[in-house]
Amino acid sequence: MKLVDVRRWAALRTIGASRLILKARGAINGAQGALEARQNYAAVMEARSAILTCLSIRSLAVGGSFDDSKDQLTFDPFYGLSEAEVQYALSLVGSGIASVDDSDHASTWMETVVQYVDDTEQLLGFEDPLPVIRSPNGMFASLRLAREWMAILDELNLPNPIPAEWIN
Amino acid sequence: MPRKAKLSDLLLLLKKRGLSIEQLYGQVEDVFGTPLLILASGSAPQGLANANSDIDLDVVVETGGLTQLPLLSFENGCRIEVQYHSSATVSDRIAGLMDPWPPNLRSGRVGWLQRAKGIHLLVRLASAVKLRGVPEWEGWYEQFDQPWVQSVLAKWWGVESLRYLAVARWLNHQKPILSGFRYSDAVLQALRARAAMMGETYLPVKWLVEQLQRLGDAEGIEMARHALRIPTDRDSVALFGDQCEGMVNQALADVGLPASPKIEVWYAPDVRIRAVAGGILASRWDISGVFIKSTAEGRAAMLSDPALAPIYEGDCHDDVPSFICELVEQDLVWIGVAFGSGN
Repeated sequence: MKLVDVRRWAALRTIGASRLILKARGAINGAQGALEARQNYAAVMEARSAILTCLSIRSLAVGGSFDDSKDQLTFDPFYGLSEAEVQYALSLVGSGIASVDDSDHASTWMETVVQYVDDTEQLLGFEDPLPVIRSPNGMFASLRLAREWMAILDELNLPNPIPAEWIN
Repeated sequence: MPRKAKLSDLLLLLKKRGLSIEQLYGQVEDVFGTPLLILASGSAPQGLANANSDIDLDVVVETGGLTQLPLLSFENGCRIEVQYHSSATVSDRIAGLMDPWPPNLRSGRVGWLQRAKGIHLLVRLASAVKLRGVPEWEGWYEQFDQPWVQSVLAKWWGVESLRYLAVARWLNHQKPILSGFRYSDAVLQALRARAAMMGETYLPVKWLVEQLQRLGDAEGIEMARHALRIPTDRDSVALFGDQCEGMVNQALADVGLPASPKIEVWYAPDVRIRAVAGGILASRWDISGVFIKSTAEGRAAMLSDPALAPIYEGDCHDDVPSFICELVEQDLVWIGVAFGSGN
């Protein structure tokens, strides 16, 4: 596989994977739990968060920023993405809000959102599924991956995707 | 008064998971010293937990220099997350929240981060239920039943709302969809402030509407519902923005923020500025950036020492110079809100 921009490829694999592990999967897990408990607004909020995170991961391949910290309000998860791609993701958010009072429709919608997260993981190009941090072995598997990445990121002078509060 | 978390809600959840309170205590290790205070925090004692929720414990110990990485364990398939805090850090961070907020001019991102850590801790502690403690720390914990908690949280979310609003306005022309999301976020932050004033202390944004429902705040629920329906075409975003501005003002009416906030623009971390022929090259990690053809005034502002002053400060409704718009659009800046006079 020929790489045009090694630093951006490394960022997609590492920062993208960390966003998927730490944010998108956690949010989807929260959304599914909330939907099952008929906490429909919490489900919509969590799904919205997962979808925006997936957009930001896809954006990493086409010029998106590496810093999606909560306080970085100018961060643009849509950066560089085609209008069709953005509109599809936003339609998923919109469908969730539209179905907030309709639990039958909400289950179908949730399946579509989960598929969108799975598809985003596929785009990262890993052979094996990424660890699920909320599973019994997930935290240590994630930390092992992070340790590998940190060396590469440091060498390429790229930011560390591990949450700052875990380090400080 | 702040809403009290309920031990009964925690016990109910434990029963559903086939766990006893002793099994929960069994997750607390003494490797960091004898626990001074053990709290159950998060959604469980708030009565909001569902089948996928974990159980959170916060444990204060005397040992210093602890990681903020939570320690995880699984009992009967239930995920239990234990966060250890050093007693000195906990005391300092909570005491630091007595400093005034919103900040004076030029406290910047460093001041924001310091406050954010204190707020994060306050939310965890104030929305928790006390399980065990030594008398000194049980006494210390009583302060979280007081109204100051609501005021501190409401002011924090209120200022956050204004930060989102500033960004939403500035992105309105060049990035209408992102602007729409920031307008939406501004309303949600303002509603968190409003919910805090009404007694809610556990305020992850995902639970906002559920919390407004239990507060019986029909007006707040309607605002949240409207704010979540973000339009995706330019003309509609402008109208949506106006509506969100109105909702933010309405939601923050009782929060007591000072008048006339100033917006400050600082470089984001790791931004590098280089003067080159004909303008300024601004980049972050040298992987993305922008070349700005600058006026003498813009050039001087962009090349000033970022440790001393923001590159721009002004009234929240002022038109901003074009170089600021370019930096905002390229995500090269950090936006702060401040009140009062500069140093």
